[in-house]
Amino acid sequence: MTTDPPESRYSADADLRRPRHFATGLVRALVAARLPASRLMVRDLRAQYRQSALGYLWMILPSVATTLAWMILNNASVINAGDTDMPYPIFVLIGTLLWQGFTDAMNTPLQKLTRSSNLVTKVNFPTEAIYLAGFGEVTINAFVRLLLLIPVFLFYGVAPTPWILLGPVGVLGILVFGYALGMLLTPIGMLYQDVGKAISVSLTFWFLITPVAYVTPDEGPAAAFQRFNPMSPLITTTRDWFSVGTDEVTGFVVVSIAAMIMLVAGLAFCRVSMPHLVDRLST
Amino acid sequence: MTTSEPLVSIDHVSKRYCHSMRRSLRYGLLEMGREAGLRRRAGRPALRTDEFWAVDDVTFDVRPGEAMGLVGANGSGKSTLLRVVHGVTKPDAGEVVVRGRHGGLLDLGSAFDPLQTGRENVLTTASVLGMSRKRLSGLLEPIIDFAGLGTFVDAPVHTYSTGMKTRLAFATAIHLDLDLLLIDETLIAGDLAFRRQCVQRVLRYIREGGSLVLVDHDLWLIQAVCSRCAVLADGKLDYLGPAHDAIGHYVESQLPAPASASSVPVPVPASGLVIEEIRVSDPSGEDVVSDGPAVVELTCRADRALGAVRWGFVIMTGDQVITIATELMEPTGPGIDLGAGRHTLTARVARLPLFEGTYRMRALVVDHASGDPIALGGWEDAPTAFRVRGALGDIMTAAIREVRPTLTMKTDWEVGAAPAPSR
Repeated sequence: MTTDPPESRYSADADLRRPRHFATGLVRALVAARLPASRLMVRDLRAQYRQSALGYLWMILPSVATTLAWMILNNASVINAGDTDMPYPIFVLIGTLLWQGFTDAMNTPLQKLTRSSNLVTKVNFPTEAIYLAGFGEVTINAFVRLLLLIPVFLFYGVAPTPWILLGPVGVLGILVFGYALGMLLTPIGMLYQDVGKAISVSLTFWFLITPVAYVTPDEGPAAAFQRFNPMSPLITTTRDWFSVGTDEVTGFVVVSIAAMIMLVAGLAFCRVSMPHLVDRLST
Repeated sequence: MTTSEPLVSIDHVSKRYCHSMRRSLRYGLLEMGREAGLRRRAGRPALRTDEFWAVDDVTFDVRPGEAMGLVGANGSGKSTLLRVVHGVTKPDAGEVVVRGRHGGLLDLGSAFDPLQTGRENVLTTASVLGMSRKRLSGLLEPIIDFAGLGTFVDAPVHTYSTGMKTRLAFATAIHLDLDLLLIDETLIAGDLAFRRQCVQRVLRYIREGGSLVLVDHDLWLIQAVCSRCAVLADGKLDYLGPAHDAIGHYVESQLPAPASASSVPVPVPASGLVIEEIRVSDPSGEDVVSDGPAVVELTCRADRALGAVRWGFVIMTGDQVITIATELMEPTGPGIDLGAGRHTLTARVARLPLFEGTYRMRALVVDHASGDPIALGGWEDAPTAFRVRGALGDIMTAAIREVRPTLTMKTDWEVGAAPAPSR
């Protein structure tokens, strides 16, 4: 038996009434969550394509399919992608790979918690492990997918600039932003399935208004609109880092800092909501 | 931790749930908003539309090294209370304080991931419950051994039977070295041999200083393992005391009302005879004294002359699980000639060798020649309860009560200098 037993108090009071206590609790939980998180991540990474014939191919198939579709549309002049600084296929491929990372990140917290609902209603453990594991999985998947760029760059004879070293930072910015949004929506999404459906509908819309497959217009109403789309600087700057390089980072930095704050808020919201979710999931 | 300090303090805990799905979701949203609004909850909140108290103002402690049973009818709030103690959900009023590492077996088997193998699930569950990789590596084999699943341990859990999941879940939890174990009806699915193994292991865990809250419908298991027991009824604490007494109270509350308590006269069945009352007392009409004389009286009503009959009775433990004795008049002797009308049949037992406690009796009247039953008392309705008092000057200690004997015997003890053992 342990010599210095920890003491746990459970009452009806709101946990955030004691912010310092809550914050240390959250940090402790995150530290304690590392081991179970790595275990859950390995479990889910192994399991993600277990019941699938094409297996890990599914990691890149959606991006490849989207890229091909946009290439066809662009070649047939159905759309006008604008003046890209690189071969259009590379432009679209980087964009869709980054976008896929973003949608993955946004969908994952809700999916992971839903999948673990049996565990959270029965076992008292730092549930932050679930979100840590989910973020790890999203990150690994995103970077593995980006390896697809190597053969494509070679094929088109494109050489990246030193700016590519900042590429991973850009990817992380996108993932943190998506994951933070997903976490803020997760508690409500666990109660109402409307949230999950709304996420997928709005992601389609959001994709079309984000410069994933076309260049941000310089003027006109679309340009003004892009200024308020947080995904715009994230995608544009990161794509440039991977390809031609850029030093336009203001938008990216602003959105990334906001994303970090949102992520902490999301963690806190998920933490205080958990007991209430357990009530509604298990009755 | 001082030993006087309880390991678990449950202090006026209440928990409300909602019947309606839609309302329940809305209330959930409100509660989550309340968390962000930092409001303190003063006192007990009121019930909102469609809500009920799943746990209603329950207070008790669990001391270190104690095994506490929790019994009650389905829906009486046992599992909800356990969930609050475990901390996966918050009370709506009151406070729970748990000192020590506590882990649940709250139906742990169903928390397993069906696609993972048994071994992988043990690893995941143990790491989720805070066990370090190093400690786990030494425990994995004992856990697998204890569960006794053989080669199945490397098969996905969805191929397991419920019992196999139970075995693995129990094996995992008991090896985690927790200060407090919360077990919720998980043992039921195990087979007899495994249950016995579990009881032995749980008793060892308690001997080694562990504490336990056990929810189970198997009252024998509760009796075997727990020293104290709480009875919940409709979310309220109905009884709290030594396991034996609490279980007696619970069994009593679960039984249907005896037929004699009904004011409506029981109709005489087609056989022509109904047993109206069974009474057990000492010759003066008081409660029987342990190992003393007893009179059994059976009142019956016949709507026609039935000819020669015999009768008998069955004595059972208070919870009706074990039959202690059956007595039936011999077919060789003369019978009782039963005419139409109400009769009282009497039997005398010179010494009723029962230990003090509450017992139950059923009776039956059979045809003298064929032995076919004509009337049964206490089979479909509740058997009659009767009490056996301790003999006067009986210095039976609490220790003997604790093991709850059923029978008592006259024993002659040799006294004086003990003879040397013969070689």
